[in-house]
Amino acid sequence: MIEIKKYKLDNGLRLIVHQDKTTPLAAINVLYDVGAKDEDESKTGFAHLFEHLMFGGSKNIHSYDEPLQKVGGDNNVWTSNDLTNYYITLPAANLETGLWLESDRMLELDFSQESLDIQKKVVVEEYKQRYLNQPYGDVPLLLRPLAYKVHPYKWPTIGADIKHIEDANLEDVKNFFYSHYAPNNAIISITGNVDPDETFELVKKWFDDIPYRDVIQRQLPEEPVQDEMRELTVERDVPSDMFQMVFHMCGRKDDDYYAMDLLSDVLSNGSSSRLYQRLVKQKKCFTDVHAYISGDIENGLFTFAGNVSDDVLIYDAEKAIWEEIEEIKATIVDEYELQKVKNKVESTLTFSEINFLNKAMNLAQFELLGEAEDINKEVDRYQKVTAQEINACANKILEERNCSKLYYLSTAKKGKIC
Amino acid sequence: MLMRNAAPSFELPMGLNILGSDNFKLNNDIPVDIINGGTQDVVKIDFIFPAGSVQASKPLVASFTNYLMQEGTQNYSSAEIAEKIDYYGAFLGQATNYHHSQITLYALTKYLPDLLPIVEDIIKRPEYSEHEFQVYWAKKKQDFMVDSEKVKILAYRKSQEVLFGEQHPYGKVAKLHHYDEISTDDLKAFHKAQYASNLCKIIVAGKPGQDFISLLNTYFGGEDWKNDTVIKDEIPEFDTETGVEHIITKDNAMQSAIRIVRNSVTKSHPDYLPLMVLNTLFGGYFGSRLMTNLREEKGLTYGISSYITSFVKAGIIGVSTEVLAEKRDLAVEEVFNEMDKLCSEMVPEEELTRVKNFMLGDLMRNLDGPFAVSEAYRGLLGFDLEIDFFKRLEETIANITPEEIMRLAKKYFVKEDFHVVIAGK
Repeated sequence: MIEIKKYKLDNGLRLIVHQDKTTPLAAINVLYDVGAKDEDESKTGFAHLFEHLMFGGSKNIHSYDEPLQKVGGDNNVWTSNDLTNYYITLPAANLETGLWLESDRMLELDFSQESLDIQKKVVVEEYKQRYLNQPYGDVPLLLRPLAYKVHPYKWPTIGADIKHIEDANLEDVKNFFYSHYAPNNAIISITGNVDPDETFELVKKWFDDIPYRDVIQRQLPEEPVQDEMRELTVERDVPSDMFQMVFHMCGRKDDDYYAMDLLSDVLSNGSSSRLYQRLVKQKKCFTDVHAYISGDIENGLFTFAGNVSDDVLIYDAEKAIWEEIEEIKATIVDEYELQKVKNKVESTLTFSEINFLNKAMNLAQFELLGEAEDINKEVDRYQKVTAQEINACANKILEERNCSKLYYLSTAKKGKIC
Repeated sequence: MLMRNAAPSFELPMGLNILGSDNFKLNNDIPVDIINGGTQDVVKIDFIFPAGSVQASKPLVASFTNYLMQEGTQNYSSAEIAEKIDYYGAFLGQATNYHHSQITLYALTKYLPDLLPIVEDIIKRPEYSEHEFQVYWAKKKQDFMVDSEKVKILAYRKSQEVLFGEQHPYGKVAKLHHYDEISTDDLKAFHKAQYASNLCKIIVAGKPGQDFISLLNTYFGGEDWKNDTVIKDEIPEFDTETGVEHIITKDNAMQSAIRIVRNSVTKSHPDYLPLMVLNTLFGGYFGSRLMTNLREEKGLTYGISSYITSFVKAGIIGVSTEVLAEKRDLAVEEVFNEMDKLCSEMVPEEELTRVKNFMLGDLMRNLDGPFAVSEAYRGLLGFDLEIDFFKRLEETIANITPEEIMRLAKKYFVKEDFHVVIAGK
């Protein structure tokens, strides 16, 4: 049970505080309700570019990192298709320094051409390092546009085309900031060795005068229902074949979400799971294989991904996955197996609550989804899922017409087999 | 009126309060360290053995022996073990380094009585069946091939070879042919020699519950699993040629991975703690000299870092980055320029203060909670060091002067002592 207190400022900023006296530290997590899905199709990668620009100094403070380092703090950020999440850990006694820094960059960034130019270069190198210069690194660049034709989930957070980043100008950057970075579009969660009411006073002190802003109303295009199987084959200079297959599924707030998650767990959570035991250990058609859900807020993807064994044809390996799909659609998961995956979920959630920073991130995300308090209902929501619901989910989405597959072939392997 | 351009007052993050540990011995003399604490009823138990690659006769044997312990034992099949571990919501971890290997159990405390009998069998009676060996072997070999496509890994492997020599235990990097040279017999023999009660150490962290001492004694405290192996940590001398640039060509690479490395001291050496400060300043945090120059000023890379590593018998000072292929010479030059600057110009007080305070905060983060403290204990294994190592680190950080930083820079940042390794185009 995570005990929290919640507050709200007049400008719309939401604050969640959880006191944890076992640590001398505190975490400040600032979640902005803006992700890659909010980008213009011709200007993708902006949400993530901000991850970099937000460290280039703000209106009244020329450097973000230096003052934070000086009080023993550390920070980082991540961006997803749904949101942008900034976080700090620091000695609890120095909480105010973090609030001072976060409030100033929420107020106004120090938009400079020089900083933009440098960070554009850094992002281009990041793009190469992560997506182009790694074996299989371009998989997300290939699969998303295959699965999504209309919805902005069709591009990854780094952007659909690195040219969008190279072309970004200061005007675009300013527009993006004022349309998405606002107290009324942010959730702050603070955890650690802090007193909730005192924390609220400090947050009020630093954030109260930041004006409410007109945030662009989100109007996401709806992805049309897929009506036939899609596939893409690529050949790359990689040592072995990889197979990936995705199915459209519900979003994070949907009633089916928990059953979908457990469906993926039965198939693939832990080394006792069906896919691992049968496809890796017994049939040996993959050296590793997983099924997982994206966890996206909007309608997301249910993914199967596997590294094909060197002496197996990718199409035979795929067939083995379909056999598992047919089985889980045709038969109800038994009580023992269901209890096993529920136990695992409970344990995973318990472990995730050890760390105060984790708690801060989770609280902010639950608040974004609905209410931070819901974090304490998670175990129950998983416990309530029935085997019938899991079966219904499998039958609802695991169909050929809802499927997009990627055959990622190794040039070297092809040479050997032919 | 809110003064937004003035920083709030702050406290120096000093007065490290490390969770205390209790020590005791099982009935068969296995030493146990316990770090009690945390908010959840969970526990982490490390079983540590002198079963690293230094003790093994050839590459891959130590890590294969360690991993495959959980893939079938005398009393439980591999599938049964997986079932039970998953059913009780536990996690099994393995790690192998140069001098040690370990099995780690993460569990909800209430399930310890159900899990320890399985862990007992894993540690004492692994089977090493041919089938499980083949499955794991195929995966590891494929992973090895994939890793061999990554410039960063190619540069790392080469750097270990040039630092210690290809025949040295620290320099002997696994090669593809080594996969054809191991068998289940090697694993069985290595297990028999290195996994025994007289060689075992246990670290417990979290909230292990009332009965855990007797539980540990029941499953691990007997005389049934000892042998007569003597722990051997010694390594041969090494002598390598510096000043040579090593280039591994990979034509399809878009970036070059760079490693700039030299041999250095271990954690037991008096220079080690102050070197940690020099390293942080140079390339060990986001505001470091290297990040500022190569990323924030020149945009040559997504990231660059320096590090100091200490194995039991030798240390390394290194720099690692991936850069735009055309700019790799510039990047190497700038790394050495930054070293030179630290040798010739006194670090400004303001910058040093920032580094110190950042490190003090970081130390607090790294020792926060029972699991982190247990990692800290494990990091001291093999060295003749106690947990006061971290207190001394705190004092070193707080008291180090710009003069001392320059003395260390002059001693260790000598260009001729470094090897430059580049992998990529």
